[in-house]
Amino acid sequence: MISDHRFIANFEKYRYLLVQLIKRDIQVKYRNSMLGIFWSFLEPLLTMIMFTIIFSYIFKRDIPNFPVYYLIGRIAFSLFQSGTMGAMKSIIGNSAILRSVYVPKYLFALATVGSSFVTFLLSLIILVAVMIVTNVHFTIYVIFASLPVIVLLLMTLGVGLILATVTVFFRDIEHLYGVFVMLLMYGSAVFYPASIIPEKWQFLLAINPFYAIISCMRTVLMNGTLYNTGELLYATVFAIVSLVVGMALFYKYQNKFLLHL
Amino acid sequence: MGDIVIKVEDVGMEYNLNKEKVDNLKEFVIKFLKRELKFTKFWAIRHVSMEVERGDKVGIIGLNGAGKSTLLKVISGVIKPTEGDVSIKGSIVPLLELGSGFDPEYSGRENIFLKGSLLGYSREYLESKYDEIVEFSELEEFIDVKLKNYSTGMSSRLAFSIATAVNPQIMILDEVLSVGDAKFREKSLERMKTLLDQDVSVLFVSHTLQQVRDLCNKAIWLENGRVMMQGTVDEVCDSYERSVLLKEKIYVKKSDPKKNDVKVPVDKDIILTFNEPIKMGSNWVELLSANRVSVPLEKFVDGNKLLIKHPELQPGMRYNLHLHTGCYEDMEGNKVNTYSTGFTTEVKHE
Repeated sequence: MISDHRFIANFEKYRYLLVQLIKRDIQVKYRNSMLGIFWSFLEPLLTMIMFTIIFSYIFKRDIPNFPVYYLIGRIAFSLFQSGTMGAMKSIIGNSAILRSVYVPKYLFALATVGSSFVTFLLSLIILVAVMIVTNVHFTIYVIFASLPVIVLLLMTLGVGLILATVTVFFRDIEHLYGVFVMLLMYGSAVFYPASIIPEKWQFLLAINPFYAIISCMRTVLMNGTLYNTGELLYATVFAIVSLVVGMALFYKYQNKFLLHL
Repeated sequence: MGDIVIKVEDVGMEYNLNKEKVDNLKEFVIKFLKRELKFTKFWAIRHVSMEVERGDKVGIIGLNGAGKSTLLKVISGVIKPTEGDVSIKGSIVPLLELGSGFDPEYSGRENIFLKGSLLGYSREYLESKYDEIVEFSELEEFIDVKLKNYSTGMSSRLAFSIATAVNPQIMILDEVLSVGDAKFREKSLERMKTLLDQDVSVLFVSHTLQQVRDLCNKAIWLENGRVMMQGTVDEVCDSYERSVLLKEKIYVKKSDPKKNDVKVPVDKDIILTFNEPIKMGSNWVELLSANRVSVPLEKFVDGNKLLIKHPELQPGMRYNLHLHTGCYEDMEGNKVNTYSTGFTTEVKHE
């Protein structure tokens, strides 16, 4: 109980540090590029155009409103990818600081997830703009899109904390995870219709919690109807489990980090 | 008085000294399966207990590898001890590795806020201290320049100004800080003195016993990770001195640090000029590198000049050097004038 209180007091004390770290993370990403933060709009927009050309014209796949379909998957995937990969490197990358002054270590992981979320929020502007341009009918269900986003955020943090902890002890994870993330992108129907996957492999999508999240978002944003709550529930359970495991692992091993940095 | 701000109870810190560091999965799995994951355990410190009262200045003395740095790290919360408890009352500012946490791509201004937030200060507090920090660092003109364009001296001035702009209740020092050029060094020493004069509690590690005697009222002597002795500064320092000298079979006249002050290191080869002739014989200089391993230096003595050469010495950097000049008892049994002094010096190109 006492540690709970200390945790909150500590968080209060270092709140400004969290803001600083998030700011630094975003600045590092766009450092020395002329367009700076505008890349968080431009990049998804450009890849959207590219994939639209490839899939709508070259492969003649009929996905209704492919640009929006792709963008939803893409920005959700970016949040997960940059958040988890950033968190994975957060402890190793800040070892000089951790060695010289006491700072709650989870802040570094939290900050990278936070900065990925800020980028995500910015790219939502592009999503809304493209939705307006392509005449998507906005319904009241748009509000419900916030639930899968929250679930995605929790999942990113959870997986990020697990990776941050494990990577301190086994640096191989960094390379392994890069491959895994690519696999996840190809296995989550980010840029192709889910229907092209053969019947006998469809279960792979069904057990993929990340696909569940983007599928929920697509349903509310594109069809204007409520998603299958079972799908969301599955992703929520997965996110909470990963968060609990991540926090427990991190908490248990954080005192040993310094001996391995 | 009687108000305890730091309480260290039976603290021990254990390190695994595995010969090869296992940090990849393949090795770990193989070694795990072969049951080869044996670690040599090593206690850097053990059974250390101490109490620091408000206003106490405690010097920590001991030879290299005695566990002084580990103790400081444990107290400042950077590492968690394997066993035992540390409780701290009040805010603690470690003045160790001043420049860490700076971002070279940030301007001086941004770095003040970044570094300040790392020390746990709020934005409002840093804004209220901002002018004072900039003024003290004398970097008004350069405050919007990126830190990567700063000279070493400039960034250490900024670091010092940030670290000392606050009024901590507990301060942790590894050697007395003084940075920058001669003028700024004077100013920084003055600030250190005013900080030390306040009601602040200080933990202080130094290789210079005289500094410990000057600054501290209490001392703790560590050896091989155990507390050998703690008490008033003179008691502890006297015993320590006796023990060290006994071990090395050197008879020593008490050193007078002012007399032995180093004037200016000048050349590419470093020449240290002393106010009195250096005795030939068994004198030696140690370079205390960051991890405090002493490295023997090639040396050449001429009168009161000492020429030292070492591949690790780089111009423009500051080093902790430790000069011992000792003479063993001579043939007739005469005890010869010897001294031991530590100093920090900057290596310059001329």
